[in-house]
Amino acid sequence: MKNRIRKPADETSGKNPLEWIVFAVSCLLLLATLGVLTVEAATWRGSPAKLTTKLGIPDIKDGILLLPVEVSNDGDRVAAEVQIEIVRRSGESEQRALFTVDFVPRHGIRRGRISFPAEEGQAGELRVVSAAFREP
Amino acid sequence: MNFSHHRAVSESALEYGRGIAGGLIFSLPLIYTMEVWWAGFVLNPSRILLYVISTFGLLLLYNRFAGLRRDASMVEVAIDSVEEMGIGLILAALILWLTGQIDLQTEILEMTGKVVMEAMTVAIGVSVGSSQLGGDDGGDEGVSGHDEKEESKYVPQAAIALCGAILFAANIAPTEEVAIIAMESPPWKILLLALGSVLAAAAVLHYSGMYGAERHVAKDTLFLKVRGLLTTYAVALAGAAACLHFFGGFDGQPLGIALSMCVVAGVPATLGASAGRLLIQTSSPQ
Repeated sequence: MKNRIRKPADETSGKNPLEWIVFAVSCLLLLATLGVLTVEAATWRGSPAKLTTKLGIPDIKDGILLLPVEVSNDGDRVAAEVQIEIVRRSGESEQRALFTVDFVPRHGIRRGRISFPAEEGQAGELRVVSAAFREP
Repeated sequence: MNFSHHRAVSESALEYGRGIAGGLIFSLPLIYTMEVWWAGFVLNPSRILLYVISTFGLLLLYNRFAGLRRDASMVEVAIDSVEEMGIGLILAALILWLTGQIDLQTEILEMTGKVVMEAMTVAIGVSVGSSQLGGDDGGDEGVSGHDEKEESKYVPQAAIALCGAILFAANIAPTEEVAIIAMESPPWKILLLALGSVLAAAAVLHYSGMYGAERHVAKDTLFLKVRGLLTTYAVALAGAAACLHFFGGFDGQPLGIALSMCVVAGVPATLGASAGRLLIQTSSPQ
């Protein structure tokens, strides 16, 4: 920090305990940040986004099926404008829904839920049929 | 280790408070810009690392030329810069958490990227705020201070102009609007933007009577005036280009559009390198 109310350098010159604490914490934070970024930069291979979609346990309440969805990206590049299409088959009927997120970061995860009408009270067959994304 | 100063804890706390206020004032638009959040996980980690190192270099320049006393050693300048980056990281993380952009479930890589992309501008704001928002500066003027022979030094002023340019341009460069304006504008309008930027810099530096212009702008001869003006615009374009590069603005753009983007982002950068440069220098009474 600068612009301090300073006295001429003499035997009393030096940092006070608060300044040393701020400096020590700043050093730790900066070194940790540089460490994470250095490791990440060293291991980055630029592999394309690799999406994996996991469907959670469906929950049916009041004739509505709520399905947790988790999309993870194991690639080194981000996936943008991600669209996951999910199909539900129950008896003769088939329903489709789109799960959309702006971004799934590299080695990142995005979670959400989709809902289907389910008056019959059973989950039926749920599966992911397509995943589309853009490479920004 | 010898230090050029000693302050009471209460004085230090006041100065950190000023730094935090400055960090928030100068970087708030950036913290509320979603393109900056995205840059934290879209960009190559090497570029983010380079961004951190470049910001540290910029802080060293600013602290060396615009705030510290002449008896401050480079070690003290480096310590100040580390403190400002640390405060910037804490402030950025806190605000990103408060605004719901990070939480304990956020992956460490995503969190680091988001915090770093925000924190670097916050750190520059902390640096400027701690030096400019105080009252009595105890005669601390840096090498760009009172001495008539020192005041108009070319390199220090260019360095401070770069700090001002980046502080202003960083708030515009991450947005998509820069690329949209560059793509949609005909070349003659881009040229007018460049001309307008140079004229604005000339007005600010030589005809506005802005506080600090008498002390910090070399204008004894026509050559010095022209050199100062051209340097200001060149520094502004360099600052704008650096911001655009670090926020990924150039990625996938052809050369012509990239140059136009520099001119577009160069408008705020020029204001930063001229008016901003005067504002962010220690303004002790004459």
